[in-house]
Amino acid sequence: MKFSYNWLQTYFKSRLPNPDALAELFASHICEVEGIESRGGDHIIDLKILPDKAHYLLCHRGLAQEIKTLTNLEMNNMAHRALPEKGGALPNILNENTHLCRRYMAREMDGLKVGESPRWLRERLEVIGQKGINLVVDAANYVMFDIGQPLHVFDADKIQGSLTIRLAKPQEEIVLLTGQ
Amino acid sequence: MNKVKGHLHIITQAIRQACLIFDKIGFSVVQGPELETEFYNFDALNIPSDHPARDMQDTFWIDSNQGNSRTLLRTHTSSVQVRFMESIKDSPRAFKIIIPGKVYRNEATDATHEAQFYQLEGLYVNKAVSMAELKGVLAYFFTEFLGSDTEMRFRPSYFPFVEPGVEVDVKWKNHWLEVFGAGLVHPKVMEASGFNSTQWKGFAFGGGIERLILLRYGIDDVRHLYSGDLRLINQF
Repeated sequence: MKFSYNWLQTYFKSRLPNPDALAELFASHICEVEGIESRGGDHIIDLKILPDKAHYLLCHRGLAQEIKTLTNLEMNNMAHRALPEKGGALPNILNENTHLCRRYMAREMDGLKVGESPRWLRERLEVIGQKGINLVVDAANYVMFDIGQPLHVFDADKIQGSLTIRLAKPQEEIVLLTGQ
Repeated sequence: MNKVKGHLHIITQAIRQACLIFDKIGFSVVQGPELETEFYNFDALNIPSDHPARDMQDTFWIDSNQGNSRTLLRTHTSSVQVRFMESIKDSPRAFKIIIPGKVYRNEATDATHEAQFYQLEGLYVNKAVSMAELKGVLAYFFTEFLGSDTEMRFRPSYFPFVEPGVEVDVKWKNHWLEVFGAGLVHPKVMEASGFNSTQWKGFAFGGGIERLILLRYGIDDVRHLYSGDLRLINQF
């Protein structure tokens, strides 16, 4: 996975070691470094994340925590802003397989305009090799690459009944986002 | 009358040399089948069918079964670790074995990758086994095989059948090159092989023989070793 050096730096109060020194730390303590390249004022470090570390290291926050352990540098307080809440009905979720899906969280948001993302967000994604699509998709991808939680965004108007989590039925057909 | 005498292929020579080097420190040679079952190649090595670790290798599956098991061309010689231990599980004992053999990977070929190649696997099992012993054995091997000034290092890595897992690099012309994977045998592999993992520990290592040959003899492309070109074959 490609990591942005500048993005990693935002997690720390003090200056990180330079990209080559950081890559050397990763190679000797975490996993293989597949390459480093400089790209538009940033450095991209490509790490070979194997199945044993995938559950926490496929995101910048995970790698930042490893850096903290290795360097003891002081981290920034990454507190997130709470959004104004408006009471109302909760999303209707039906989990039919709590064995395979232990936890499902959902939140409804109003007042979003699905347009182009702000430039800072598009650049964050593009520098690690992802394409900007629109605000909603980009925000979800950003969260995944930042804290490691994959998300999906649904259009609430298009949901009929409850959002159901279940296994596919034999011979079941679905239509993908690509139209296939 | 044809007076040209045949000789052993460089890969055969390298395998024999490696076996002699390990023989001097008490390792015996064990071999196993190239047509393998899913159990020995994957499941017993802690690579279950729904685990992402299955994606770490590309497999040539064979369209027939052995009993209820799917068969494949083995992707590594590690399957023989399980076979050997299973064969002595009723009277378990400490042992040291090396396992040379041909393996198959469904990968695109290039200057350093072939779809069929040779691996050398090693396994040492005893009541207590350490990473230091692993490092010492590998350092001894590389010194004998590549030369007395060969530097070696471990880097953290992951294979489902060892814990901890490392990659082994040797220094060649001022570059570190990955040659082997290694680690302490995962308890699940011990158990799957019929050994009690609380009583028996082990270390294992393995890697491609061709890469070592390329390093030692300065050959730049692994495909030369398989082309049948006499200009290369007759140099050895």
